[in-house]
Amino acid sequence: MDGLVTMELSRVDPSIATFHGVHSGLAMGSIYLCGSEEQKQKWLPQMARMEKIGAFGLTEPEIGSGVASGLTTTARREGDEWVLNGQKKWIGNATFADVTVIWARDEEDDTVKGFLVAKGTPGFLAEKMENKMALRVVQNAVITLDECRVKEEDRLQNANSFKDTARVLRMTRVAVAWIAVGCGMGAYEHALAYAQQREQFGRPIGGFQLIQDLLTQMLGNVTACQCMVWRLSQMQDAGEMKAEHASLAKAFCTTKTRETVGLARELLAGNGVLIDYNVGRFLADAEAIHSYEGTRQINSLIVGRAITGFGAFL
Amino acid sequence: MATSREQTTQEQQLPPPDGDFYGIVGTLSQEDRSLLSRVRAFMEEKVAPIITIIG
Repeated sequence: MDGLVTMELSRVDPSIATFHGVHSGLAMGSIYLCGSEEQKQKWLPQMARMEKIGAFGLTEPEIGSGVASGLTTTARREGDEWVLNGQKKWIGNATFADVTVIWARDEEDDTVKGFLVAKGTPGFLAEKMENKMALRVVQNAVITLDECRVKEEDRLQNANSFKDTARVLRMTRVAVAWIAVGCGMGAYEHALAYAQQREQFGRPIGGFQLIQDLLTQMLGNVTACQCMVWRLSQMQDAGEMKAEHASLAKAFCTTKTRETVGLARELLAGNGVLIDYNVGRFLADAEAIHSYEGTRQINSLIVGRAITGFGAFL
Repeated sequence: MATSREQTTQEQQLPPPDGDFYGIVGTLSQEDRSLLSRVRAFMEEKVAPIITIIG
Protein backbone atom coordinates (compact mmCIF):
# COMPACT_ATOMS: atom_id res chain seq x y z
CA MET A 1 0.00 0.00 0.00
CA ASP A 2 2.91 2.36 0.74
CA GLY A 3 4.04 1.90 -2.84
CA LEU A 4 0.70 2.82 -4.32
CA VAL A 5 0.52 5.93 -2.13
CA THR A 6 3.98 6.87 -3.35
CA MET A 7 2.85 6.31 -6.94
CA GLU A 8 -0.15 8.58 -6.39
CA LEU A 9 2.05 11.36 -4.99
CA SER A 10 4.46 11.06 -7.88
CA ARG A 11 1.68 10.89 -10.47
CA VAL A 12 1.02 14.56 -9.75
CA ASP A 13 4.50 15.61 -8.66
CA PRO A 14 7.66 13.53 -8.19
CA SER A 15 9.10 16.25 -5.93
CA ILE A 16 6.38 15.69 -3.34
CA ALA A 17 6.94 11.94 -3.58
CA THR A 18 10.67 12.46 -3.15
CA PHE A 19 10.20 14.70 -0.10
CA HIS A 20 7.99 11.99 1.36
CA GLY A 21 10.50 9.27 0.46
CA VAL A 22 13.38 11.07 2.13
CA HIS A 23 11.36 11.71 5.27
CA SER A 24 9.43 8.47 5.70
CA GLY A 25 11.80 6.11 3.91
CA LEU A 26 15.39 7.19 4.33
CA ALA A 27 15.18 9.11 7.61
CA MET A 28 12.46 7.18 9.43
CA GLY A 29 13.73 3.95 7.86
CA SER A 30 17.21 4.53 9.28
CA ILE A 31 15.79 5.00 12.75
CA TYR A 32 13.38 2.10 12.34
CA LEU A 33 16.04 -0.35 11.09
CA CYS A 34 19.11 0.91 12.96
CA GLY A 35 17.87 2.82 15.99
CA SER A 36 17.49 1.72 19.61
CA GLU A 37 14.04 1.43 21.17
CA GLU A 38 14.61 4.77 22.89
CA GLN A 39 15.51 6.44 19.59
CA LYS A 40 12.46 4.94 17.90
CA GLN A 41 10.19 6.17 20.68
CA LYS A 42 11.75 9.61 20.65
CA TRP A 43 11.51 10.23 16.90
CA LEU A 44 9.21 7.92 14.99
CA PRO A 45 5.77 8.85 16.42
CA GLN A 46 6.39 12.56 15.86
CA MET A 47 7.83 11.91 12.42
CA ALA A 48 4.89 9.72 11.46
CA ARG A 49 2.62 12.65 12.28
CA MET A 50 5.01 14.94 10.36
CA GLU A 51 5.47 17.11 13.41
CA LYS A 52 9.17 16.47 12.93
CA ILE A 53 10.77 16.17 9.49
CA GLY A 54 13.80 14.04 8.67
CA ALA A 55 16.69 14.08 6.22
CA PHE A 56 19.35 11.53 5.31
CA GLY A 57 23.00 12.48 4.74
CA LEU A 58 25.04 9.88 2.90
CA THR A 59 26.25 11.26 -0.45
CA GLU A 60 29.26 13.59 -0.41
CA PRO A 61 30.57 16.20 -2.83
CA GLU A 62 33.25 13.85 -4.13
CA ILE A 63 31.64 10.49 -3.27
CA GLY A 64 28.46 9.32 -4.96
CA SER A 65 28.41 5.74 -6.24
CA GLY A 66 31.49 4.95 -4.16
CA VAL A 67 29.99 5.58 -0.71
CA ALA A 68 30.25 1.95 0.37
CA SER A 69 34.02 2.10 0.59
CA GLY A 70 34.89 5.74 0.14
CA LEU A 71 33.00 7.76 2.74
CA THR A 72 35.22 10.66 3.81
CA THR A 73 33.06 12.20 6.57
CA THR A 74 34.62 11.16 9.86
CA ALA A 75 33.42 10.48 13.39
CA ARG A 76 35.83 10.75 16.32
CA ARG A 77 34.86 9.50 19.77
CA GLU A 78 35.62 11.88 22.65
CA GLY A 79 34.23 10.63 25.95
CA ASP A 80 30.46 10.53 25.75
CA GLU A 81 30.41 12.44 22.48
CA TRP A 82 31.22 11.97 18.81
CA VAL A 83 32.82 14.72 16.74
CA LEU A 84 31.74 14.80 13.10
CA ASN A 85 33.74 16.43 10.30
CA GLY A 86 33.17 16.49 6.55
CA GLN A 87 30.65 17.44 3.89
CA LYS A 88 27.47 15.97 2.44
CA LYS A 89 25.80 16.93 -0.83
CA TRP A 90 22.35 16.49 -2.42
CA ILE A 91 20.72 16.03 0.99
CA GLY A 92 16.97 16.43 0.50
CA ASN A 93 14.99 18.24 3.22
CA ALA A 94 18.18 19.10 5.13
CA THR A 95 17.67 22.87 5.03
CA PHE A 96 14.61 22.59 7.27
CA ALA A 97 14.73 19.08 8.75
CA ASP A 98 14.40 18.64 12.50
CA VAL A 99 16.76 15.68 12.40
CA THR A 100 19.32 14.60 9.81
CA VAL A 101 20.82 11.12 9.76
CA ILE A 102 24.52 11.55 9.10
CA TRP A 103 26.61 8.59 7.98
CA ALA A 104 30.30 8.85 8.87
CA ARG A 105 33.37 6.67 9.09
CA ASP A 106 34.67 5.97 12.58
CA GLU A 107 38.28 7.16 12.71
CA GLU A 108 39.18 4.40 15.13
CA ASP A 109 37.81 1.22 13.55
CA ASP A 110 37.05 2.52 10.01
CA THR A 111 33.43 1.29 10.09
CA VAL A 112 30.46 3.35 8.94
CA LYS A 113 28.19 4.59 11.71
CA GLY A 114 24.99 6.64 11.72
CA PHE A 115 24.24 9.70 13.83
CA LEU A 116 21.05 11.63 14.54
CA VAL A 117 21.92 15.31 14.26
CA ALA A 118 19.18 17.63 15.49
CA LYS A 119 18.46 20.98 13.87
CA GLY A 120 20.52 23.76 15.39
CA THR A 121 23.40 21.57 16.52
CA PRO A 122 26.57 23.72 16.55
CA GLY A 123 28.92 22.79 13.72
CA PHE A 124 26.07 21.65 11.43
CA LEU A 125 25.47 23.95 8.46
CA ALA A 126 22.98 23.10 5.66
CA GLU A 127 23.07 25.37 2.60
CA LYS A 128 20.39 25.15 -0.08
CA MET A 129 21.57 24.11 -3.53
CA GLU A 130 20.35 26.43 -6.28
CA ASN A 131 19.61 26.14 -10.01
CA LYS A 132 18.44 22.55 -10.17
CA MET A 133 16.60 21.63 -13.37
CA ALA A 134 14.73 18.71 -11.74
CA LEU A 135 12.71 18.02 -8.59
CA ARG A 136 12.55 21.74 -8.13
CA VAL A 137 10.30 21.65 -5.07
CA VAL A 138 12.75 19.45 -3.18
CA GLN A 139 15.28 21.47 -1.23
CA ASN A 140 18.66 19.77 -1.50
CA ALA A 141 21.53 20.93 0.65
CA VAL A 142 25.25 20.88 0.97
CA ILE A 143 25.94 20.08 4.61
CA THR A 144 29.16 21.10 6.26
CA LEU A 145 30.08 19.38 9.51
CA ASP A 146 32.75 21.29 11.37
CA GLU A 147 33.61 19.76 14.73
CA CYS A 148 29.90 18.94 15.07
CA ARG A 149 29.36 17.24 18.44
CA VAL A 150 26.74 14.53 18.87
CA LYS A 151 26.09 12.55 22.03
CA GLU A 152 26.65 8.80 22.08
CA GLU A 153 22.94 8.36 22.78
CA ASP A 154 22.28 9.96 19.37
CA ARG A 155 24.42 7.43 17.51
CA LEU A 156 22.20 4.89 15.76
CA GLN A 157 22.78 2.01 18.12
CA ASN A 158 22.28 -0.77 15.57
CA ALA A 159 24.23 0.72 12.67
CA ASN A 160 27.56 -1.04 12.80
CA SER A 161 28.76 -1.02 9.19
CA PHE A 162 27.76 0.05 5.70
CA LYS A 163 25.76 -3.17 5.47
CA ASP A 164 23.27 -1.54 7.82
CA THR A 165 23.15 1.57 5.64
CA ALA A 166 22.53 -0.73 2.69
CA ARG A 167 19.56 -2.29 4.51
CA VAL A 168 17.94 1.15 4.54
CA LEU A 169 18.71 1.70 0.87
CA ARG A 170 17.34 -1.70 -0.10
CA MET A 171 14.02 -0.72 1.47
CA THR A 172 13.87 2.74 -0.04
CA ARG A 173 14.82 1.61 -3.55
CA VAL A 174 11.42 -0.04 -3.71
CA ALA A 175 9.86 3.35 -3.09
CA VAL A 176 12.02 4.95 -5.77
CA ALA A 177 10.78 2.37 -8.27
CA TRP A 178 7.22 3.34 -7.31
CA ILE A 179 8.12 7.03 -7.72
CA ALA A 180 9.32 6.23 -11.24
CA VAL A 181 6.04 4.46 -11.98
CA GLY A 182 4.05 7.48 -10.80
CA CYS A 183 6.22 9.82 -12.85
CA GLY A 184 5.62 7.81 -16.02
CA MET A 185 1.93 7.49 -15.21
CA GLY A 186 1.54 11.24 -14.77
CA ALA A 187 3.34 11.98 -18.02
CA TYR A 188 1.25 9.40 -19.87
CA GLU A 189 -2.05 10.76 -18.55
CA HIS A 190 -1.12 14.36 -19.37
CA ALA A 191 -0.03 13.28 -22.87
CA LEU A 192 -3.26 11.37 -23.44
CA ALA A 193 -5.41 14.27 -22.27
CA TYR A 194 -3.46 16.55 -24.58
CA ALA A 195 -3.92 14.15 -27.51
CA GLN A 196 -7.67 14.11 -26.94
CA GLN A 197 -7.90 17.92 -27.04
CA ARG A 198 -5.15 19.11 -29.33
CA GLU A 199 -6.25 19.41 -32.94
CA GLN A 200 -4.17 19.40 -36.10
CA PHE A 201 -5.48 19.10 -39.65
CA GLY A 202 -8.98 19.62 -38.24
CA ARG A 203 -8.95 16.59 -35.95
CA PRO A 204 -7.79 15.69 -32.44
CA ILE A 205 -4.26 14.31 -32.75
CA GLY A 206 -5.33 11.33 -30.61
CA GLY A 207 -7.03 10.04 -33.72
CA PHE A 208 -3.78 9.75 -35.64
CA GLN A 209 -2.04 6.38 -35.94
CA LEU A 210 1.42 7.63 -35.02
CA ILE A 211 0.13 9.37 -31.90
CA GLN A 212 -1.73 6.24 -30.80
CA ASP A 213 1.50 4.30 -31.24
CA LEU A 214 3.32 6.72 -28.91
CA LEU A 215 0.55 6.42 -26.32
CA THR A 216 0.56 2.63 -26.52
CA GLN A 217 4.32 2.48 -26.00
CA MET A 218 3.96 4.73 -22.95
CA LEU A 219 1.12 2.70 -21.50
CA GLY A 220 3.03 -0.53 -22.04
CA ASN A 221 6.00 0.85 -20.11
CA VAL A 222 3.83 2.16 -17.28
CA THR A 223 1.84 -1.05 -16.98
CA ALA A 224 4.92 -3.29 -17.07
CA CYS A 225 6.54 -1.22 -14.34
CA GLN A 226 3.38 -1.23 -12.21
CA CYS A 227 3.16 -5.00 -12.36
CA MET A 228 6.84 -5.36 -11.54
CA VAL A 229 6.77 -3.15 -8.47
CA TRP A 230 3.44 -4.59 -7.35
CA ARG A 231 5.07 -8.02 -7.21
CA LEU A 232 8.20 -6.55 -5.60
CA SER A 233 6.11 -5.04 -2.82
CA GLN A 234 4.42 -8.40 -2.27
CA MET A 235 7.87 -9.95 -1.86
CA GLN A 236 8.89 -7.17 0.53
CA ASP A 237 5.76 -7.68 2.65
CA ALA A 238 6.46 -11.42 2.76
CA GLY A 239 10.07 -10.86 3.81
CA GLU A 240 11.33 -12.46 0.58
CA MET A 241 12.83 -9.39 -1.09
CA LYS A 242 16.61 -9.26 -1.49
CA ALA A 243 18.78 -6.33 -2.51
CA GLU A 244 18.98 -7.56 -6.10
CA HIS A 245 15.19 -7.65 -6.40
CA ALA A 246 14.90 -4.01 -5.35
CA SER A 247 17.83 -3.00 -7.54
CA LEU A 248 16.37 -4.62 -10.65
CA ALA A 249 13.10 -2.74 -10.19
CA LYS A 250 14.85 0.55 -9.47
CA ALA A 251 17.09 0.24 -12.53
CA PHE A 252 14.36 -1.02 -14.87
CA CYS A 253 11.53 1.29 -13.84
CA THR A 254 13.61 4.45 -13.83
CA THR A 255 15.01 3.59 -17.25
CA LYS A 256 11.59 2.82 -18.70
CA THR A 257 10.22 6.01 -17.15
CA ARG A 258 12.87 8.04 -18.90
CA GLU A 259 11.69 6.48 -22.15
CA THR A 260 8.04 7.09 -21.28
CA VAL A 261 8.42 10.77 -20.44
CA GLY A 262 10.51 11.20 -23.59
CA LEU A 263 7.68 9.79 -25.68
CA ALA A 264 5.21 12.08 -23.89
CA ARG A 265 7.43 15.06 -24.64
CA GLU A 266 7.57 13.98 -28.27
CA LEU A 267 3.78 13.80 -28.43
CA LEU A 268 3.43 17.34 -27.13
CA ALA A 269 6.08 18.55 -29.59
CA GLY A 270 7.08 22.13 -28.71
CA ASN A 271 4.63 22.34 -25.85
CA GLY A 272 6.44 19.43 -24.25
CA VAL A 273 9.27 21.67 -23.15
CA LEU A 274 6.97 24.16 -21.43
CA ILE A 275 6.50 23.65 -17.70
CA ASP A 276 2.90 24.84 -18.13
CA TYR A 277 2.00 21.56 -19.83
CA ASN A 278 3.46 19.45 -16.99
CA VAL A 279 5.16 16.87 -19.21
CA GLY A 280 8.36 18.93 -19.27
CA ARG A 281 8.43 18.80 -15.47
CA PHE A 282 8.08 15.02 -15.48
CA LEU A 283 10.79 14.84 -18.14
CA ALA A 284 13.27 16.69 -15.93
CA ASP A 285 12.26 14.83 -12.78
CA ALA A 286 12.75 11.45 -14.47
CA GLU A 287 16.42 12.35 -14.96
CA ALA A 288 16.89 12.89 -11.23
CA ILE A 289 14.98 9.76 -10.26
CA HIS A 290 17.13 7.75 -12.64
CA SER A 291 20.26 8.83 -10.76
CA TYR A 292 19.40 9.11 -7.09
CA GLU A 293 19.54 6.27 -4.56
CA GLY A 294 21.84 4.27 -6.78
CA THR A 295 22.46 4.90 -10.46
CA ARG A 296 21.31 2.33 -12.98
CA GLN A 297 24.89 1.15 -13.27
CA ILE A 298 25.34 0.56 -9.52
CA ASN A 299 22.01 -1.26 -9.33
CA SER A 300 23.03 -3.35 -12.35
CA LEU A 301 26.14 -4.44 -10.47
CA ILE A 302 24.04 -5.51 -7.49
CA VAL A 303 21.85 -7.59 -9.81
CA GLY A 304 24.86 -8.81 -11.77
CA ARG A 305 26.59 -10.07 -8.64
CA ALA A 306 23.49 -12.02 -7.65
CA ILE A 307 22.85 -13.68 -11.00
CA THR A 308 26.43 -14.48 -12.01
CA GLY A 309 28.00 -15.14 -8.64
CA PHE A 310 30.79 -12.69 -9.48
CA GLY A 311 31.13 -9.32 -7.81
CA ALA A 312 32.14 -6.63 -10.31
CA PHE A 313 32.41 -3.72 -7.88
CA LEU A 314 35.76 -1.95 -7.86
CA MET B 1 -21.52 23.61 -40.94
CA ALA B 2 -19.88 20.72 -39.12
CA THR B 3 -19.02 17.59 -41.03
CA SER B 4 -20.33 14.26 -39.84
CA ARG B 5 -16.82 13.34 -38.60
CA GLU B 6 -16.61 16.53 -36.52
CA GLN B 7 -20.05 15.93 -35.07
CA THR B 8 -19.05 12.42 -34.11
CA THR B 9 -15.94 13.74 -32.34
CA GLN B 10 -17.91 16.41 -30.49
CA GLU B 11 -20.59 14.02 -29.34
CA GLN B 12 -18.24 11.21 -28.46
CA GLN B 13 -17.62 10.64 -24.76
CA LEU B 14 -13.87 10.22 -24.62
CA PRO B 15 -12.35 7.78 -22.12
CA PRO B 16 -10.68 9.63 -19.23
CA PRO B 17 -6.89 9.25 -19.06
CA ASP B 18 -6.14 6.42 -16.65
CA GLY B 19 -2.65 5.00 -16.20
CA ASP B 20 -3.93 2.02 -14.20
CA PHE B 21 -4.77 -0.01 -17.34
CA TYR B 22 -4.68 -3.41 -15.65
CA GLY B 23 -6.79 -2.25 -12.71
CA ILE B 24 -4.28 -2.82 -9.90
CA VAL B 25 -6.11 -0.41 -7.61
CA GLY B 26 -9.27 -2.46 -8.14
CA THR B 27 -7.63 -5.41 -6.39
CA LEU B 28 -7.33 -3.45 -3.13
CA SER B 29 -9.69 -3.57 -0.20
CA GLN B 30 -12.33 -0.87 0.10
CA GLU B 31 -10.35 0.68 2.97
CA ASP B 32 -7.15 0.89 0.93
CA ARG B 33 -8.98 2.27 -2.10
CA SER B 34 -10.50 4.92 0.11
CA LEU B 35 -7.06 5.93 1.40
CA LEU B 36 -5.72 6.12 -2.11
CA SER B 37 -8.67 8.27 -3.18
CA ARG B 38 -7.91 10.71 -0.37
CA VAL B 39 -4.28 10.93 -1.49
CA ARG B 40 -5.36 11.51 -5.09
CA ALA B 41 -7.86 14.17 -4.06
CA PHE B 42 -5.25 16.00 -1.99
CA MET B 43 -2.70 15.93 -4.80
CA GLU B 44 -5.17 17.03 -7.48
CA GLU B 45 -6.89 19.70 -5.42
CA LYS B 46 -3.99 21.14 -3.41
CA VAL B 47 -0.80 20.40 -5.34
CA ALA B 48 -1.66 20.19 -9.04
CA PRO B 49 -3.06 23.76 -9.33
CA ILE B 50 0.15 25.36 -8.04
CA ILE B 51 2.90 22.92 -8.92
CA THR B 52 3.84 24.50 -12.23
CA ILE B 53 4.15 27.87 -10.48
CA ILE B 54 6.25 26.83 -7.50
CA GLY B 55 8.06 24.00 -9.25
